[in-house]
Amino acid sequence: MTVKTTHSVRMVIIVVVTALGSAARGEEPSVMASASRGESGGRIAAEIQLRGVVKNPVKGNVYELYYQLRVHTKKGDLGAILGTADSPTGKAIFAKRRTGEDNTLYLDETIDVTRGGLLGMTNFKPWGKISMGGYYEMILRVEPHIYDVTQKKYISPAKTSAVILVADVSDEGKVVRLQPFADLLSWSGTDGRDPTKYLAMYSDLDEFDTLDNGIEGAYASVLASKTATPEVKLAFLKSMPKFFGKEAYALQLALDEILKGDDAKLKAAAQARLDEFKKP
Amino acid sequence: MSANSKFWLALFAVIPIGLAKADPDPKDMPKNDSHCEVDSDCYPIGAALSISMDSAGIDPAHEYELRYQYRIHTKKGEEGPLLGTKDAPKGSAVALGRVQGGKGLSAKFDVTRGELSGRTNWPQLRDGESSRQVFLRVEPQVYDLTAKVFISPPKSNAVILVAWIEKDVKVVSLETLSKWFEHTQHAFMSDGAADIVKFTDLDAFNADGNNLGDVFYDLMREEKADEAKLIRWIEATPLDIGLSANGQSKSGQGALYFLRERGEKGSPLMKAAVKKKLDEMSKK
Repeated sequence: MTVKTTHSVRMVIIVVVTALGSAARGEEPSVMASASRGESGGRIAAEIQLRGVVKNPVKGNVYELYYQLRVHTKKGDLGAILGTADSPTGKAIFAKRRTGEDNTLYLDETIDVTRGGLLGMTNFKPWGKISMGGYYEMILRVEPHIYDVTQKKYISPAKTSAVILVADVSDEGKVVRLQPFADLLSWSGTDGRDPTKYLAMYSDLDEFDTLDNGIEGAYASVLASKTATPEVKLAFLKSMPKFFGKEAYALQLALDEILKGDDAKLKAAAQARLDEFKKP
Repeated sequence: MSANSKFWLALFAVIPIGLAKADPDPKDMPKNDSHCEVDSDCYPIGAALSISMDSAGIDPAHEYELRYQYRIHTKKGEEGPLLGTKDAPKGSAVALGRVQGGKGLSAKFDVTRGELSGRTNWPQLRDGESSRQVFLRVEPQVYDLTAKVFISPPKSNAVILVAWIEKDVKVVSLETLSKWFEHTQHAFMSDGAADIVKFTDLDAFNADGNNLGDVFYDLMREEKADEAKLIRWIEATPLDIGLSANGQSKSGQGALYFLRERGEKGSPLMKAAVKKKLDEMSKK
């Protein structure tokens, strides 16, 4: 699956949940699990909100919300899950438990993923080939999952919509930096750096929601930035997927501001994006 | 008076003397002043800190362990309780590393709200409270493994964090003192006076390690603040502002410069406040 826009993601979720719910008519539960980023914890952590919805749960069955950290290696690939000494092939971390009662069961929890918490975990694998001073840049997906304790099986898909984090990891598995991808993207565009690597990283991601990850916000901060060069802004404008940013007010404001400027190339690119928003 | 009465009188006269504990002589207090400082504020999740070991009181033949502990600030001059764990409910320390005497030791570590949630000795919520603000001290400690004694004082110079806790000892946010102070002094709905009272009640910390130099630098240069507010800031300025805690940082030099400038160009009231502050600094 390619990178999803908010519009398409929400449509897909609504269609799938509705279809499953209609087909099941109370016989089989239908499930949605997603994650969105909360507050940024500087370079040491990220706050993440996990959400799980089970429609038509079996009354009396116990459902548990877990999350796992999956290494992203390449678009379309199912990377390894970070493990521990006890669970070297992959560790699912408990977040919430509820018993099925009503027509719909909600499992929500806010968790912190910290660099200290990742210390000693196994299965790290670098994204790309660049080593920075002995540290490898890695992409981590925080994926929520729902487990039916009574049936002893996961009822959510193997790879759910995730929050994307980026970590710098040493050869010994020490994580020296951990931050949401969107923060890094924003920083790369506004700090006078070359954002090419992070834009390439963005286009390589899959199975995530751009709004839940704050990607539109990162784009808005770059396009509205006084420190970002016109070349950088143009690169960001060109990298936007279709439908991207239609629901992001801050991004639209940033595009409107560009239209008030003098740069013809930037103005044309911004206008093209705004025209895209008007399409049904 | 009977012989029996004399005996009891004599006993009661002696007991308090016998049980009374003499105040420790300051020269006997441990002198090691290992330095803890803020590397970065990561609100609301926590902070990245570092500790460097002081060489005072080090015996080259001994082995030492660098540790840190969390202490609740209760009141200036008091030693509040240490945060503990299930295994050590009265208070526990985290070991960062060991070194054979003489050589300095430093370490970096993160303090996170997740790690502090559920610890023992957090203050209870008061009736009707849904959350409570707590000042938490992160104190470096040096333990002489050979002599089996601490060479740092019990309440050592700390990095201070501001935590909000909710029921069931859940820490919902953790922020550095400098960020908290900066926010409170620029809050839209408050003049910050009540928070200055809280700030000036804190003790046993250095301005440099807590990044307060940058905050007071900005406050001293503030142009929109009214005189009353500026005077409160001058009065709250830590006495060690501009002094480097580890001989490297220059945090606070700018604050000191603009404080002096306020003393030259300000109103008579402000000049008096600056003079008083500079006098206090010179005595320290």
